[in-house]
Formats: sequence, C-alpha cells, structure tokens
Amino acid sequence: MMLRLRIFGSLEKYFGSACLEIELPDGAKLRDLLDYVDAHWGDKLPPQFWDAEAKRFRGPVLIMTQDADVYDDALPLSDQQEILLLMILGGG
Amino acid sequence: MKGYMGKLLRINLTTGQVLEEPLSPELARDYIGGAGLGVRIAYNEIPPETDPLSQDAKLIIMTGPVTATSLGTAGRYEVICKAPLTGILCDSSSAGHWGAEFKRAGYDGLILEGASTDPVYLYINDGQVEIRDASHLWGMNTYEVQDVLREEVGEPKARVVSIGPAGERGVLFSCMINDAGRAPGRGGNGAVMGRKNLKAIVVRGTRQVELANPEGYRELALAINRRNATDPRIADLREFGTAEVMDNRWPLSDIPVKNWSLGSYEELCVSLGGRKMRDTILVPHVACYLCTIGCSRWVKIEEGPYKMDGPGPEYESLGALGSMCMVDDLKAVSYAAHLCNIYGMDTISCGSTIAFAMECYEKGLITREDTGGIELTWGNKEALIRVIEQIAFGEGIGQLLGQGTRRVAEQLGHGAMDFAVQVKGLELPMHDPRAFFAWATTYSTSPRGGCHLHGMSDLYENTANPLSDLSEWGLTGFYPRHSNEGKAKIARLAQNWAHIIDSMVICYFAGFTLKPSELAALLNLATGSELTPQDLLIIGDRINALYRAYNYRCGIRRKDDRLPLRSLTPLAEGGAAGKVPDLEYQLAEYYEIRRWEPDGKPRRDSLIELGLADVARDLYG
Repeated sequence: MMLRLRIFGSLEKYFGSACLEIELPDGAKLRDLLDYVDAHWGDKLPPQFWDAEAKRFRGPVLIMTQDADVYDDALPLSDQQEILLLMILGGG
Repeated sequence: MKGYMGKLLRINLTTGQVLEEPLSPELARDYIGGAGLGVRIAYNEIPPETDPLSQDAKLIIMTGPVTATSLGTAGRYEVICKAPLTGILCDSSSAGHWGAEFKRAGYDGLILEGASTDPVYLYINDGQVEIRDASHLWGMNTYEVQDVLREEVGEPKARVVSIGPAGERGVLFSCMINDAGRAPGRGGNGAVMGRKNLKAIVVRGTRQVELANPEGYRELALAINRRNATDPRIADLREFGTAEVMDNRWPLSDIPVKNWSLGSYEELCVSLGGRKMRDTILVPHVACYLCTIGCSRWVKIEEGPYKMDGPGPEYESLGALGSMCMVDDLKAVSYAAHLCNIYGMDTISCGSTIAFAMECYEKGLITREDTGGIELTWGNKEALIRVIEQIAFGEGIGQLLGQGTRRVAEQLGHGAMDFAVQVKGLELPMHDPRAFFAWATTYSTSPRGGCHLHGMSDLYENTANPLSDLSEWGLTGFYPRHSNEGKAKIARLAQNWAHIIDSMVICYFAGFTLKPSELAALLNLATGSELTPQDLLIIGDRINALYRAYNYRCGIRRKDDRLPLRSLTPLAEGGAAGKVPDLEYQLAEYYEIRRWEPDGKPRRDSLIELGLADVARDLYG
C-alpha cells in the first residue's frame, strides 16, 4: 500500500520534506509505519520527539489521519491513506 | 529582601501624593510577587463593588523576584485591576523590557489611586518620581508617545508604557502598550488608566537586584537560557513565532474560523501562518529581555494600503483579526494588529467582537444603516480596518463594538448571545474547547474569564511527555484530547502553574522546558527561601482561591462557570467534527478538586488551610 505522510512544523527538517510517499506491505498497521519511521529517520529524530527504545513519537508530536487521532499500534492502515505528523505547541 | 527591591510605590493621582512603602516579607513569601501579590493587594484594597472606571478604582503594576535578573524573559510585568470589560478581577502580563527597567528604578510594584484632573504622565528615574503634564500627548498613539517621551526626558534607553486613543476614550478592551507593541492585553486596563487621565509611565533604572545566591542563580539561569535556545521542542516558536500555530494546528480544528463556526480551513490558516510570514514580510527582529527563544516577529510592508514597519502579529491576533473574520490577507491582518497596537487595544477582544459583528450583519441584527454604509461582510478586509479605527476613536458602529461582545449581544438581543463567544465577558482566545476538551474547564473557571493563559491545559492532552512537565505535581499519564476524564485535574494544575509563572514573573514559553522543582530552585537562589515544588503547588492554590473569592464577592457563581453555546455545538468538519466536551462532568470533578461549594464559593476549611482565614471570614462571617 502507498501512504502519504504530511509532516508539520520543525519535524520537516528531520524528514527532509513536508510530504512523503511511502510504501508499506498490504495489511500494514500503525506499528509498521512506526517501524518504517524508525528505520529511515530514527537516528535523525531528537530524543525529545522520538523514543528510540519504544519506537514511537513522544512530546508534542501527534499522529492523525484526516479525521481522527491515532494512538493504537494495531490500527490498520489503508492504501492511499494520508497520515499527519503534527507538532503541538502552546502559543498565543 | 533578596530578589526584591523591598519597596512599593503608591501614587495618588487626585492629590499628587507619592509614597514609598516597604514590601511585606510575609506577603512576598505567601504570594511570591507579580500576579499573586497583585491579587492580594487588590483583594485588600479594591472593594468588590468598586466601579472599575471610577476614581476609587486602583491600577496595580507588579514585577517579581526574578525580574531584571539574568533569566531570559525576566523583563515582564503584571497589571492587576478590576476589569471594566468583565467587572471582575483581572491580571494581565506583558513582555518586553518595561518590567525590568521599572524594577531597576527601585520598586517591586506600583499602586495607582485616584484620578488627575488633567492629563499627566509619570517619570520614574532611579527612585525619583515626577508627575508631569501630558496635555501635549493626549490623542497620540502609543508609538508616538514612546518616541516623544524618550526625547522629552532625554533618556533614549527609557522604557515607556502608555495608552492610545482607545484608552483615552474608555474602550472596554483597550490596553496599555509598552516597548512599542507589547501589551498586558486583556480586560480593559487601558480604559482604567485613561479614566485616571494617566497617559504614560516612563521608567529608567540602573540599580541592580540583589540575589541570595548570585553565582548559583546565574549558573541556573544561564543553563535555562541555553536550553531554551536549543530545545527542539520549541524550535517552531524560534523559527516561526507564535504564528506557527496557524501552520500546525488547523488539522485539529483548534483554530477558530468564521466566529467559531467552521472546523477546517487549511488554505485560510496557512495563508496567515508563520511560514507565509517568514517568506513574505518578516525582517530580522529583536527578542524580549534576554530571551533566547525570540518568538516575537517584526514585519515590514513596503507599500500599499497596509504599509507598516513594526511588530508582527502574534497567533492570537492572526486568529481574531484573520481567521475569525475570514480575512486571508496576511498584510491586511498584520496591519489590523498594528492598528490595535498603536491605538492600544486587545487584539483578541477587538477581532472577536468584529467577527461577532460580522455574523450579526449576516443575520440582519446589524444593518448597513447601523454601520454607516460599511459592508461588514466576512473577509472584507477594508471593513475590518475601518471598524478598528471607528472602535479606537469612538465613531460610528465603533461606539457599540467598543463595549465588547457580551454587551453588544445584550443590546442587540434576538438570540445574539447564542453566538457571542465569551466567558464572564472576556472573549475566548483562539483555541477551541471542541479540539482540546480540557479548555472547557480552563475557560469556564479561569479567574479572569475566557482565557488560555490561566493555564495552558492543552499542553497536557495527547502526550505523556508534555512541555512544562508537571509530573512533580502528580500529573502523569495519557489524556486523549477528546475525553473528559482527568481534564479537571489538568486544569487545576495548569492554572496553578500559570499563577506561579505570573507571580515570578516570567514567560510561559520560557517555562515550557521547566518543571516545578526548577522554578523553586530559581526562587530559592534569588530570595533565599526554601520552597519545594509542593510549596509552589500550594501557593498556586492560594492565589487561585483568593482570586475566586474576590470574584465571588463580585457576584460570580456556578452559573457563570459556563461555555458559550457555540463552543458546545459540534463542528461539521475537521479534526474535532462531532465532538463537544462534557462541561458538567468536568466541572463536577473540578469543583471537588478545588474544594468549592456547589454555588462556586471556596470552602471555608480550604481557605483556612491555605492561610486565608481573613478571606474565610469575609465569605462566611
């Protein structure tokens, strides 16, 4: 399956782009996406954003699909799905 | 008193009397300084029945024990008054340099009483205080006043806080402006100052703050400054300013669009975002006092109707004057915020009131006749600019809108209150409680009305590793943004954190990388106290209880701890579609945690435990 990864805020500089197309096996789940992130960018992401041991985002990073927040590693992903990696800072 | 100058300045503008008073060590211990101490002074000295715009009203300006030290952002100050916009107590914090300069002039705080018969300004220079004629300044905007007064006092390094035409005319959301563009924005302190015929306060100070452990303090402060310069979690603030919120939060439906009626509008938000600003109108900028984050922006628009060269808009201004009004032109919104700065008005309340008026216009509650021909339609940037000017100068429809959303809705009737988005008269800031449910409790119970700075509860939703880590206060675990469980606990602790930050007085953003033990360490090194993180939690509870007690005496009850109808109406689209917080559930938990009676009064036993026996007597006899 093909996924579209949209990357927000200063996360972009670690991924090298604000938008990436990535390919995962059919039937992939969120955990597979996180493993993919770890394999490709895990060494670039600072520890404030990425828990290298648990292989998951931390701190102000939130994963969303177009209409829902995503927490569950077992969440099935679908072909052509858009996944958003958001930076949640306070501001005002 | 280490960390303090040990003196308060009291000036009666009716009599011209200037007094220096010792700062009470007990009050400093119990309330730290800044907002906490200011609320205590207000409680003691401003009877709850006081008309905020009368001669009896007082305006209190406070610094804190770390003000004017080597800690980044320690140039701030707090303004405390009974707010004309809301009729309840209000503290408001401002950035820049004015607070540090004032403290170096020899004082921890300033209490202004009475009213002058003629326009005056204060010149406070290293312990010398003069009340000077300001008749030549009346009518000037805040930037002009700064330039003229620096020249007049012959001190180019003097710092100036002033009101503009809006404060002179009593616009209920007018505010003081310092350092050309920084503001203690909320509640209408500009109108209080205006009614005192006080145009400006000029300060120059060269004194040093004595610290209990200067070496230890300096080492810790510099470590924090270095951390704030490099921590990747706040890199977006450095690179894009607070406008980063426009770029980063639209998928969550956190950004209000069209008077809080739409849940998603990517193009509009991105067109007002920090990246767009960086790529178009941003020029090299200066930071606030010793700040290593540097979130403030400076923009230059070379030509056209929005020509300007000055501080750029913060996120709240972009939201209120931009997305709320459906204006997607960054230059126009920057100029609109610039006008609010020079005329001395709170951008949140001003923009929100105009957005509300646009909806009234759409619904026929305000007509073209009412506006004097202005087409107050969504996205009409020319109308936005014209109405801001009318509000500031009390002309046309501006006379009505200058009273703020709640009063306008009351006067219009016909269901207008249903889409008047305010709590206790204060227009909501630009974060949606349908996107982050803890805002429901935070906004409905915030001591000064609808406010996101008392405290930033959204930091603690959706992450187990939050900024401003409060795990030392027992806030651990994971709280999804669209659940109601635990949100009352988050609200209480975030509010207490804000009370401590505002009492020290530093910036919330500098506090993003800190935790309670580090705030305690800073205070201990500055003042010689031996505070623990738990002591700070209790001080936060004390300040909140005192604030609430004052407002209770002003008539605030459980029925006033509410959200606007629109905030409880589901959005049709976006990252919060179909979601609304369960306010009753959250408030039941919050009242229990805060130990409030069902009518909203702090319980007698809790007041006594917090060292507020006198307040308990006031409330219970």
